[in-house]
Amino acid sequence: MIGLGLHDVVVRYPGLDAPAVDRVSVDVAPGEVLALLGPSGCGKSSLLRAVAGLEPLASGSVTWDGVSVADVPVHRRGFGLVFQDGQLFTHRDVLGNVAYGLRGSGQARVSELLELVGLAGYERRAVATLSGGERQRVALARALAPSPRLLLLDEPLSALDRSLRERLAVDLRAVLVATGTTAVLVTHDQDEAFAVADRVAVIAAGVLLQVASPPDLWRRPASREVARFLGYEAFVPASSAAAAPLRDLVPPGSGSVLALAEGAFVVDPVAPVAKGTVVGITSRRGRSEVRVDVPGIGPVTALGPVGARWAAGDVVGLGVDGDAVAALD
Amino acid sequence: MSAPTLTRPAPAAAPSGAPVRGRRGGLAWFWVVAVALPLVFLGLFFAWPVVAMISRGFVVDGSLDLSGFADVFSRPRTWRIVGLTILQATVATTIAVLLGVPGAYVLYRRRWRGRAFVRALVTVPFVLPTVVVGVAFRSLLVSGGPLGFLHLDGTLVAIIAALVFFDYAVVVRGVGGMWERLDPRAEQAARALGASPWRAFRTVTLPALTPAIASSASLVFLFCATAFGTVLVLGGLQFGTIETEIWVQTTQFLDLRAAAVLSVVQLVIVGAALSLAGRARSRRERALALSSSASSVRPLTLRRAPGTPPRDGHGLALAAAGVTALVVVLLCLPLVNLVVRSLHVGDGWGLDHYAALGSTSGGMTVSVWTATLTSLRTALVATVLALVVGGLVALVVSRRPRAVAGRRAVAGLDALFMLPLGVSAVTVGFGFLLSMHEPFGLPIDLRTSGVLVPIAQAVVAVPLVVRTVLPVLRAIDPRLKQAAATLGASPGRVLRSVDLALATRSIGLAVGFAFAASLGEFGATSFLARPDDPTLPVLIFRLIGRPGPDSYGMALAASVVLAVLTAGIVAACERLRAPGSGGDW
Amino acid sequence: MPKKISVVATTALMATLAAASLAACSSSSDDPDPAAGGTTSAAPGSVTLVTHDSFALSDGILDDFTAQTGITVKVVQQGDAGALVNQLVLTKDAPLGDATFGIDNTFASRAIDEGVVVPYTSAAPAAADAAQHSVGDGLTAVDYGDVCINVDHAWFTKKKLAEPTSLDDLTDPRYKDLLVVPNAVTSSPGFAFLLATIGAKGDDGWQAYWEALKKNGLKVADGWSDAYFTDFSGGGADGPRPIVLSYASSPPSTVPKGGGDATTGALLDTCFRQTEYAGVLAGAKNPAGAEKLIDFLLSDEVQADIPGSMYMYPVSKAVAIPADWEKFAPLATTPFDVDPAAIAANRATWLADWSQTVIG
Repeated sequence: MIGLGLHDVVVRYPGLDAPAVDRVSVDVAPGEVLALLGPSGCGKSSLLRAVAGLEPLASGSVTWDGVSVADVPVHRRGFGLVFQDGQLFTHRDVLGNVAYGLRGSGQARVSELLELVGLAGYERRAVATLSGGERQRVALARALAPSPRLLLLDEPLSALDRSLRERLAVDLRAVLVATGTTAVLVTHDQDEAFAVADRVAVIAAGVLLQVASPPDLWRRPASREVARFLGYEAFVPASSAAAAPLRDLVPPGSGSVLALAEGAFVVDPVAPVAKGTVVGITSRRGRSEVRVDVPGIGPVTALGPVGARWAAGDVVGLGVDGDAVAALD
Repeated sequence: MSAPTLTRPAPAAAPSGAPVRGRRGGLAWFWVVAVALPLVFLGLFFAWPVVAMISRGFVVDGSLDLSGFADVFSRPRTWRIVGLTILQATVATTIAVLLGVPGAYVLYRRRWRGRAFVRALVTVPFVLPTVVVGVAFRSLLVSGGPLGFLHLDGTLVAIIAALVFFDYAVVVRGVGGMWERLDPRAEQAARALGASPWRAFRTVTLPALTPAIASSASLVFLFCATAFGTVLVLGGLQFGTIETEIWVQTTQFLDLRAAAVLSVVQLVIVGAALSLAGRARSRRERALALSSSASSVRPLTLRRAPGTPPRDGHGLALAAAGVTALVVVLLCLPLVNLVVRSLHVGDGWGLDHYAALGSTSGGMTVSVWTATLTSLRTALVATVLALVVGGLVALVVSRRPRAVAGRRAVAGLDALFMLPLGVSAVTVGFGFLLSMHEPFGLPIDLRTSGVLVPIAQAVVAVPLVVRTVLPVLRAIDPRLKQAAATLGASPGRVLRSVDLALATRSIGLAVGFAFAASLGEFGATSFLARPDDPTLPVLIFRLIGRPGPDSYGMALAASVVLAVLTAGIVAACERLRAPGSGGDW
Repeated sequence: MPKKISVVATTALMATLAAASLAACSSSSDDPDPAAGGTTSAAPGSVTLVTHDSFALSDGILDDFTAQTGITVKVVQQGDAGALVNQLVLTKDAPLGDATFGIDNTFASRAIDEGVVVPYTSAAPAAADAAQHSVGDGLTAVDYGDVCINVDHAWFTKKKLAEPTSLDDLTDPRYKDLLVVPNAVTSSPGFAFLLATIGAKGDDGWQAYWEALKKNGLKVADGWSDAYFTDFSGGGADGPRPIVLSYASSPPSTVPKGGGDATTGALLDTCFRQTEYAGVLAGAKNPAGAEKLIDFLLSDEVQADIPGSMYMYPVSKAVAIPADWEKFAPLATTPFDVDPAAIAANRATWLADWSQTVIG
């Protein structure tokens, strides 16, 4: 196998019965970005640390290009790691941090990387004077500097505010693609995983549930658990009467249960295919999100127009959006 | 970010998958040496002499005789001195901590004019020879003296006051060094959660400081439990401690059996205290968020800073400042008394005693200035030794092995190197006589060669270095080291570029502490047979014991010289702490 | 920063090397030849004098010894007389040096009984004078002095109170709260005064005397300097008590700078005589040199220097005493005396009883 290979990886912590990571197998091809997606405490960070060599494997193996790295110490694996809070060296300036992993002075390489992450000219800044976003950019540049054969990113954007996070996610993807870096990204944020990764691995309670590209994952979640984590909020048997307007949106025979994500229903007073009773309204990026109770399905979130005004108890007509409906077995 | 135009560099930089054993071997060797060198040092220059001395008391005519225990423990006096030892050390330690923590805040967390001077000033008592402090203290307290109205002369209170006087600096420096770099945001978060300044301090800052406090408290306890001159001068034998009793039994009665039993008792008490402190420490000691002192140290003002609301902790800061000011004044009383008396010539005043410091008249074998040079030279050697040994110990002890056995071994090593502070200087000094005659068949008599003086001082200074450097090393976030490792840094390089680089920032403090301790060391030094080039404290002791006309005044003047010298060196080391710029520590 | 690290690393390396070389040496130590005996630093032509912290001679005197004999003197000192004797006892199998000075008559028996010193009879001219202080074969008296109660004349004049003169006066209520003495357990003059009272009151009377002293407000200080410089009113520090246990040689140091009479005086009926001895250590590497050094200690040059540098009287009657000593520091004519053998036998008991009685 070329690239990173995980084979039945198990990580245990002393004193805990349940393994933190339970027989996970997944491969990452060269140049590919894999996201490990899961709720906090699901074991995804433990898995990442095991790959880095910071946690011992209870069993299983981690390979690179088919060769086990079990005997290779952390610093010789060539696996870079970016922490959630950067872990910059406060006793070194930006240059000192980025150049840390380089052999020789590498001044030019540092400048190149700083430019890449949008911090050109920051060489002599003390890290204490940097903002959170700048720190993570330095951490990224520092991790990329020695050209790691694999870059591990442990919730690299989670400590940042939302707009910065979304912007940096795009930048991160761009940098990874530009440098052709093979990477594993740990995140609990589905949007971040989808924005950055080529493939997404969903993990819960230490077990790998599904690995797929973002569109495949979205369209064909392997289980309710995966679907729920991706944001599917309601499940209805394909054969039920209430599922009638939705059945045609998925390929025929693709599954016995339909999963509805937020926005599977759209408020459509003109050509409604179903009706629901309004429970409440919130707003997201200007558009209304209407909580409606659809008979036979239950409460779901339907998208509404900007500035919609309904009171609880109003009955509204609903259309459907095929991209928010998936079929499950 | 700029346009992603960067090309992937040649993959040659990526290391091969095979481990390179050779370099790991080098590091393994380093750790072997890091553990072995201090152990050999301690074993040779502490354990061996102590065991040699104690076993003299238990081995009678070649066979083991433990009847001394029954004998010594059947004396009511034994129980009284054990009780007094624990009482004095516990009370003095408690007071030193209660006063020292506000002192650490004011002297390390706040910025104000003259701070550096006061920091050096509070360190002075720590290095003054006990006999000098005894005189300075007693002449204050004696009836008719400036504080005679307190009727404290010869009381337990006087002893405890003197013990606090000696060891206040230990708490201030130990706690202050940590506090200075404690990230203030945790406390700020607590404030934002509705905690009053006092509650935020109690529930957030204080727990974070606990390792440093426990560390300092255990040092103070050891110093107090082995205080010797202070107790004798200020309280006499009715307040005798285990240490004074060992001294009496060894030097006056040559009752080695009783001395050995008492030495064992002392070890047990000290061991118990150390394990207690170790537990308090390890419960709390973990990666602390440290920040640059520049961001966490704020100016101290008497009036509330404009724009700060009332009840925002200003009162608390003022209270701490008030307590500290009072303590500093109290610390100054004996010191000022010392200076005043050193200027007292006959019925008038003058610098005559200082002028006489260069002379060797009246049967003095060397002048005070010569002794000062000897002291500086000895302390320098002792400091280097203590830094190397103590630094290695701190490095080893700061590791967090995964295995339980490993963790226990590390904790044991930590406690082991504290022991020299808790074992009687008499036992060590006499033990040297028994063990250092041609050690290992080497054709040298180390006992009289003079090399033991800096070594004995280093043995005492090592724990100070460990206690100063260790909290900083332990507070380093392990992920910082992991980050370095994932960047390709070998464990050796992580050690150098993270652990050592960060620890170096506390090295000034450690150097100052170790140097001061060596400079003022008198206990172990005075029981060593040594060639005729006395250190300053020894010379002062000789001068003060001479009935000659001006020798007493000269002793006081020489003490002032010692105090000024110490303060100067400590102040210089403080400056050493902040090398370079860039807003770092 | 890297520079600093390399310094640390270098230092560590050097220390390691030092330790390694030590270890290497130790492994090479195949059984040392017992016949070679001591070895050590005592190169031919040098002699090591083991003494206490109060030993001092004026500059250049020991150089004169070297000039006369070709022998250099290495002085090793530690602790007080008690610590000195006990260290010599502990190390008698591998002595710290060749000669010792500073064992006093209160410790003399222990030193002789333990075989610390070997017999030597000096042939120096002053040896006959020294012999008058003889305690046994191994020890040669070098100097002596009296430990006596001192009073502050100025204080008594001011208070218009007659000065005490005898031990019994000290229990007189007129002198309540006026006496300070050093602790007999921790201070050698303190012990000497205990011996004076034992000599005066007998083996079964001294406890009652101390009870009386205690009732009369006796103050016990830790050491001599503590009592003299802190508690005593005449010691320059204006302490509260005008009667102190000190030396017969103390008053000359209270002569005012401009001249005149000493402001304090010793009570010569309250004294105990302390004599300091020198001896050749058993197992000395250079016993001949040690003997020469003891002869030298009895020479006029050293004997004349003793009052000025050690504040004791020389045993030699041939040398002159400083003029102010003649005037203000006369010796007691009949100091109290206790047999050295009795001291050795009873030291621990007496001190325990004394502690019990006085300290409680």
